[in-house]
Amino acid sequence: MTNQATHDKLNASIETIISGRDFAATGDSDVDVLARLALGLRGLPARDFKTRLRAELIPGLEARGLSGLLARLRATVSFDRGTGLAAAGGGCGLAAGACCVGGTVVNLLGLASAAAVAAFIETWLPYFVSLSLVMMAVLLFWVVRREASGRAIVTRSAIRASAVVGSAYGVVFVGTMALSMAMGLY
Amino acid sequence: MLDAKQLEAEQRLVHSSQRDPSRFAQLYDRYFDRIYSFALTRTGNRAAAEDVTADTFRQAFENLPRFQWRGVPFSAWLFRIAANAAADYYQRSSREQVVPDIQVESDASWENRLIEVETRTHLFDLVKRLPNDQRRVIQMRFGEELSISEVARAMGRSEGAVKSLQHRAMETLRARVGEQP
Repeated sequence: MTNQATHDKLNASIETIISGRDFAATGDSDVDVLARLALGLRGLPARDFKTRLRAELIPGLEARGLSGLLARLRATVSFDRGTGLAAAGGGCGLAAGACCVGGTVVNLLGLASAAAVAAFIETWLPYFVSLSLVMMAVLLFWVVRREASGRAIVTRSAIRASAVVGSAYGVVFVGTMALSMAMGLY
Repeated sequence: MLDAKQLEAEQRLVHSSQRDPSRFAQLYDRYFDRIYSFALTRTGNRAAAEDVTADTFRQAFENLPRFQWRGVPFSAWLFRIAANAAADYYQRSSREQVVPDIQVESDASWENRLIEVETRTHLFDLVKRLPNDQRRVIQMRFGEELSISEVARAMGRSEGAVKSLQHRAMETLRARVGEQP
């Protein structure tokens, strides 16, 4: 049998299936296997149905422009929990060492002498560290409160979140300190 | 079946959807095909399946703030809503005699029904992964129910070429259907 004849046979079976009737075996086992598979495709969702229904349920997602883009981002982009916590912890660590990084940059640009930067870091570092610790505490409180649904879960969640945030904080903060030390500013 | 980690991730997604309704889009995208397949299996026709699917997600969206996590997958709740929506649809249709060919609850067990749903969902998923041309043909033939000549016009090809593509698409699906998802 030619390829064209096989394609015609399968097409006839598919036509029958689409019209809602059960196909009759053609006697060609290869075609019949494919036609049986095609039975499972009857009622395949129409391309626009899913999109239309989503737009009806959550109208903001289909809006055009910046608001639509933001809504789609919020709906589809979700950081993995661990990555988000590590990034937040790293951010707090960076806040703690901001005076070290900032001082190093200012010194490298020749805007302040090493002695002035060292004095600045020595004076302000405790304040930056205190501020970053408050930020971290607020962050952890927020994370745990979000996931609160029973004491055991809260405790487990708090321990895990603290470990991830604390580790990221430590790594970044130590990194900023090492940078200023390497430059002889602390 | 979800493992403990996936279940925990789903719990977080459900909770975040309860606080921010736009997050519901993720749950919707995750379960649309399954719920649609379930509705199609229960009702046997596209229009009814679309109605039941729409009712299911509307109810789920409206009732999400009152949903309480009990450690079972979110889909279990959705399937329960879908089963009720299908039953409601059937009752309405019987009263109005709008859809005379809708399937009444068959003897098939719940488990067999779920297997059928999973098989159909898997097949729908495989269609999405077909090469572009093959996917377009299958989508237009089965999703939009276009004739071969209409598909040929839409794709700017001959009817013979479209039949050949259709055959190849079905062969690709047959080859992939037995593979692990």
